[in-house]
Amino acid sequence: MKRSEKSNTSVVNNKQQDVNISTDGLTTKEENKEHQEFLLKVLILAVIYVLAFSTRLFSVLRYESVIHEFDPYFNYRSTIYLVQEGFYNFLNWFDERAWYPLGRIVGGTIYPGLMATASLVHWALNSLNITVNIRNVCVLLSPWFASNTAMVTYKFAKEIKDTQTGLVAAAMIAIVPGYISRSVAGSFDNEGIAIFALIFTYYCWIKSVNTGSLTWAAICSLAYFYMASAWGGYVFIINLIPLHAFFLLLTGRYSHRLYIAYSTMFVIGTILSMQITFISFQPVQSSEHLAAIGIFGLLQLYAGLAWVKSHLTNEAFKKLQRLTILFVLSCAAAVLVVGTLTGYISPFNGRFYSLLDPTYARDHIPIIASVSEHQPTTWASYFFDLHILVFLFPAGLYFCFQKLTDANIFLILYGVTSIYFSGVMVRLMLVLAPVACILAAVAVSATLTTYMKKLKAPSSDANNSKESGGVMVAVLTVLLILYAFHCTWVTSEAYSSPSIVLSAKQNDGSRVIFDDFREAYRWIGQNTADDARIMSWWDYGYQLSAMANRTVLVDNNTWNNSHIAQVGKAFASTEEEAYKQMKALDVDYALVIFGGLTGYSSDDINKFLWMVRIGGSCDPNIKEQDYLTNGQYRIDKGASPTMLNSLMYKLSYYRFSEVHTDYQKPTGFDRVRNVEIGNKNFDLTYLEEAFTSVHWLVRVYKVKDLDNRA
Amino acid sequence: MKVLNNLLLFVFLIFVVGNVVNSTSQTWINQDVQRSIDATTHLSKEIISIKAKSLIDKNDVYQISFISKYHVSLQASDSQNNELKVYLSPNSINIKEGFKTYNIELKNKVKRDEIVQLKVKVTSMIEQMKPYPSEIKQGQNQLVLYLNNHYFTSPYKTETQKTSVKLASSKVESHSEEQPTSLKGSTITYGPYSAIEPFSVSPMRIHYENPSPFLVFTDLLKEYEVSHWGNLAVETHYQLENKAAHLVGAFSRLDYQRNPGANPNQIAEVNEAVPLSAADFYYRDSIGNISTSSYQYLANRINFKIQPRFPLMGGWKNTFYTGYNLPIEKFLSVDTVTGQYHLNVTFGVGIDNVYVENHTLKVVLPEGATDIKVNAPFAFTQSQETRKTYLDTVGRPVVVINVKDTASENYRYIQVTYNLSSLSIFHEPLLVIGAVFTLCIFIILYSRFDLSISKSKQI
Repeated sequence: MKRSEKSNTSVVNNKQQDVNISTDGLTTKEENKEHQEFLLKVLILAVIYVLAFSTRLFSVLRYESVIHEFDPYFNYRSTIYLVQEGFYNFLNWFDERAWYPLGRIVGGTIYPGLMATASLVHWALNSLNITVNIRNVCVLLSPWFASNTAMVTYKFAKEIKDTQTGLVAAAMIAIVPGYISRSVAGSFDNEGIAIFALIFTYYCWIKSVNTGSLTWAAICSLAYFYMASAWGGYVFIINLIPLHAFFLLLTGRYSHRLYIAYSTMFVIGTILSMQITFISFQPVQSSEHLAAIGIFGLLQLYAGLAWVKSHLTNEAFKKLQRLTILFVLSCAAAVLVVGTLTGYISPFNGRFYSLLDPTYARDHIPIIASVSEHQPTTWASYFFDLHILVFLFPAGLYFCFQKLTDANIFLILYGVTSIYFSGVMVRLMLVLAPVACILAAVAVSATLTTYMKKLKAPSSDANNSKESGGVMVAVLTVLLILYAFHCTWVTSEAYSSPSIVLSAKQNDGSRVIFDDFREAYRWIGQNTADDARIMSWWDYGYQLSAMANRTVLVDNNTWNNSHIAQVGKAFASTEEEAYKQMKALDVDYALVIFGGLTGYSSDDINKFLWMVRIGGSCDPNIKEQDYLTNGQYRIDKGASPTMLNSLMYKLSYYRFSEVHTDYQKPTGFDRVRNVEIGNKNFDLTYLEEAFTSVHWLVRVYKVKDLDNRA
Repeated sequence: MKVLNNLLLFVFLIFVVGNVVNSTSQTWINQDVQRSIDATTHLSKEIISIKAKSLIDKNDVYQISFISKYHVSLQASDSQNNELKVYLSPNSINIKEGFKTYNIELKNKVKRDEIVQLKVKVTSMIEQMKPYPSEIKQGQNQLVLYLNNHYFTSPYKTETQKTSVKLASSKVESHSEEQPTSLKGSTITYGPYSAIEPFSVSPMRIHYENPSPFLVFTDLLKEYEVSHWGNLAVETHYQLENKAAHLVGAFSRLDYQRNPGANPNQIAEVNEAVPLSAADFYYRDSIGNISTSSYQYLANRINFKIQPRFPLMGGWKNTFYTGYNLPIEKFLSVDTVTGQYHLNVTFGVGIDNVYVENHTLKVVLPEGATDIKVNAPFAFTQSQETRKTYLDTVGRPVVVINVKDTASENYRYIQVTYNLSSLSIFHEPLLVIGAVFTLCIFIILYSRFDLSISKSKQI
């Protein structure tokens, strides 16, 4: 074991030749070696810690310390509220600036863990007179938690296998793109801290199963509570742990350790998780949590029967066993049926259904299907996000199967379930990444241990094996180096742009910055009435309320489908129709994102069909067919009249026909769709241009107050 | 139009009242007054040359009055170009209703019949310069109404006087007349008038084309952070508003891009003069960094070009902040006799034609600074607070100076003096060393102690 420590360090450090331990050395020498080993371990972990943090700072260095994307803006805004108003006001927060005129009960509809963590860090630093502002805390929280995740992964893998596996796993997870995608500096999202909580919970679970310690089980439930407070993904834990317990039962690995661990963890964890307002009674009511309750009952039954068995004859016991099982099963079934019928036990919700059946959302819930991160994962993105882990993953599984232990079974279950989920939804790649790292680490360290032994063996042994050892070690080294390069490249190229600031390379190599979003948000925030209501597609709701501090109709918390449909319908209607709807919704300004001038492809025209679909899901008068020409989505002369006269079209292309975007091209040439627009030189009657950002990316229109004319 | 009528009526009333009551004692007589008013921007910059004769012995205060609703910022000097102290007369209200009177303190006491020459610079805006009409469409020209007094407003009798007003353009819609009056090009000359009684008012009203943006900082907070380690950090928070004629109707980006010059009353950028030694510029607002700024080195200063995220059309607002670092040695000196430190810094921002409604200066001094005093060539209100930041224990003293409605004060220097023990510079490094040392001791002790009751076996 100690020898393989050395081989492992050769992976991480690529030098260190002298940690070879001879078992028959002097005690002082051995102690010395132990100290050296400890020092080396601490050094490697420290390097990993720094590496995990610093590799996530690309966007800060390249752009600035700024919050990214959409959801993080809401989290950021809530954190500010939490810091300013205190925790209890935060829990009671009713946000009247979102979902006008409905408002949103924020305190009861979020997982507060992230905001609580950030404000705690902020408070701690500031009470030490380290006056860091909230924004910087929020921006750097995810990278810091990623470092912590690496440390926890080390402990987790060490608990499952050994120290060297732990070190490899920690090094791998520090830079795995699948995790970096959600934890770069600025991506202040639940997942950033949830993965830490997830791995920590699993670590505590394995620890408590291995030791049967009440303390570890209690810590595990605390970790579970933290996870439940941070991310909806806690459901994964509360299903995976019962699954693990169930498989242990099935494979005859039941033990008192398992009983103690599960019972403690389940009871305390469930009670604690029910303290989160958003979760409240779900753990005892919703179907997603039923498995955990079932396994809890099963474990009690099993333990009870095992105890009774020791006091009864075999035959009597068998009778009793059959009776009990029948009774319990029928009871459970009755409770389930009655509960479901009375509505006391809620059926699976849409998101959960779409997890089990990938095609469900596409057919039934357009709002879920319209989000790109809810799309099924492609093979390419597996390789992109995991690289060599894709190949090492099965190898790791193989090594786990080779020597089954309680912990290995858990790892297998975790791996298999998460690979399924990641296939359903691209964003669940995040859950797969840690286990892929651990399984790959198992594979790498097991392989290296084997072949390094061969290398170290005295040369009098078969020469052949030494060569094969060398080849294997070299191949793995190359793979790991490639992995490191790939991860850095992906991080730098794909996951480090804040999306709020866009940049493009010019022909001469210099960078142009498109800061249009903030320009427009700033304009709205400074130059519209404080109670102005802005209508935009829901993607921009969080950013608008955080950066412009204005009332929005819909935002990224897509809780009310029909309200979103109202907005979709307004954008899909003609200007006259839309005016009536906007007046009914008290809209003061309408905001559209338009990329036709610059070639920014994820603009509202490209999202328009989703607006039509979602609008049509509530109003049958809006038909997708009306906006298509022979099933084709067009905006040029061949487009359907409904399309050419829709509000979205007019707001996007207002006066665009007077602009020359390219030489040798007619005026009004759309650079995203690469066509000349179909409806030119139209005027707006009910709206007027209020502001357009410098590259026309954001266009804001004021809804006019028309006089009462006869 | 109604507002204008009321205004005229009001001014007229003052005029009438001014002629009836006259309570101030005549200590001076103005022999000759030349006023030249620069109304080419949104500020009224008036330079008054006064030749006054003392009517009493030991005369050391000369008074100057203004119609009380005009906010003015004053600077006075004598014939030797010595700056004179100006302050609002303590019994200003009693001197004359409807006027406010300032005292100018002369350097020497003046004998009877001695003649004194004074130069007074008056800068004002809000009440005297108004866009009229107050709302225009994109691409329209901005017209401005300028209000003043045809006569030099004085608590003393004025023998002869003459006023010339330089306008931004020769396009004058209308102008008030008080014979003799002449309009030549873009300059209107009023006078010479002779033997004008004290507090005489004859309303001047010029309606002309003035394309200037009305750059106003409704709130300006400048902050200096002094570090005896060699750095003077400067941060300025601006609340900018373009008080020009408000834009009505649509703002068309297309028209704006085709012809940016069509709206001269917009603010597309603000140029701030910054000391040459400044470095590490930043320019942000509450939602992040603003990439559209640049700075260029000139012979005696750096021109820091601040471009707001969007052009400020009439009536539009924006807030942002900038900052940079300066080497402290050019601004901080130590008195070799008393050991006192003197910090000499400008009060405001180096922006041309700036008008600030609420102007605050904060000077953050090193921890442990005592006997803090502020000297400024103008009146101000002062308060003090403490701030705890990096490596502080008791907090740093912060001097807060507030002045309302400043214009020329922006370019003036103020001096902050304080005492600081020379050892206090070691406070912060010692704190860090102490913390690291404690941590090491803790780790050493922790790894040596074994607090377990029985030796547990390693699993």
